[in-house]
Amino acid sequence: MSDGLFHAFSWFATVAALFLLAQLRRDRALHRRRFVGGLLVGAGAFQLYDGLVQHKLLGLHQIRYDVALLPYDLVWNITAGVLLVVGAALVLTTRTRQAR
Amino acid sequence: MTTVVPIAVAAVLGYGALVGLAHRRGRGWRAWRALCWAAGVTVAALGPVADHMDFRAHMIGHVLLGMLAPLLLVLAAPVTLALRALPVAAARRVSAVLRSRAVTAGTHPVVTAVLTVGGLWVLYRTGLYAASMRHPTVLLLVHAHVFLAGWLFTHSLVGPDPAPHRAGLPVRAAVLVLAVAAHDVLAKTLYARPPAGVDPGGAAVGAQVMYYGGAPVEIALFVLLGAEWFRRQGLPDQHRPLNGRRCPPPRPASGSPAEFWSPAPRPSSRTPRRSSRAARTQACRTSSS
Repeated sequence: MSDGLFHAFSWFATVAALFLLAQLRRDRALHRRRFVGGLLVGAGAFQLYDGLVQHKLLGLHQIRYDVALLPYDLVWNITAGVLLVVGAALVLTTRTRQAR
Repeated sequence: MTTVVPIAVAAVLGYGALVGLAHRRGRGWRAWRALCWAAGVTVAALGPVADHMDFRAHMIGHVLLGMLAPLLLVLAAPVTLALRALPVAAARRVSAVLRSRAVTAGTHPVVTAVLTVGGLWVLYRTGLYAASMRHPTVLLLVHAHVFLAGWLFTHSLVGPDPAPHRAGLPVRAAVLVLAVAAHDVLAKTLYARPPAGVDPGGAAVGAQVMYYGGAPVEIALFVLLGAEWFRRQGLPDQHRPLNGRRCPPPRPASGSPAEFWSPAPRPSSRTPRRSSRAARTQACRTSSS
């Protein structure tokens, strides 16, 4: 049930977001640094959530099976944290006066 | 097989005749649309042929007949072609039918979505599928419904053909998301719980064909909806709702012709580049001058 909804909505969101991006480019209104920042925040936040909640808390799936997981988990979640911090820094430093 | 081939040949010949008429009237027609029609008719004819007592083959037929063929036929814009090719009086009658209340109600996306996806739930979750495997007439009716409902659904969402009361983009997008979700949920449950009279192994493969084979068509529909939105956003301001914005007054056309023809000054560096107002103002001025 939720898988079907997720599948349908995620494809819709992907396509819609690409058209929004295309519109910003056409209007010459795309702020690249801020865009990359948003991308990194999203990727980092999802990876951290995946690594902490889905892997550890719920135990839905693991990065690898039948090996010592600790190094994999550490690399996974630290990478996620770095992405999140770099993305947040980019977003915060590119704020405009109106946004504040 | 024997019923499908004459219909397919007639459909291709009929479309070709309309293209010829349109050319005679001095109105051209794009070759790629004619190719879409030929491909759509071929795919629709292959769909029922593929359906042979086997659930895996049946699902390939379902994706071809109910999803891919309708998309190709909608892109072929048969109604637009007919309006171009027919004499004015006949074309008026066609457009009167299109504007009629029955067509408006029957092509509302909610109605067409229930017809097409609801029909699939009925087909696989009642004894209808098993019955269609036993009785050729039931199978024929199921094929006809899957194909026509799929065509109507696709037309209610996207396509170049005139649709005088087509629902707004947000409604169409929401209906498409929900219909795709209902289609994919059905595919998932068919994997877990086969329809009556289907072995689990065949059901698992068939469900995956339905889920992954349908995805490209679903994505194509999302892209067509997005493209329509994108095109509208690109129209000059006078052709789209102002949403509270006002067109700035045109610059006074004073000065020498040289000044008049010189390009508009670039937005100064003080103007933030990420604001789209500059571009919009430019569009306003171009359209109002």
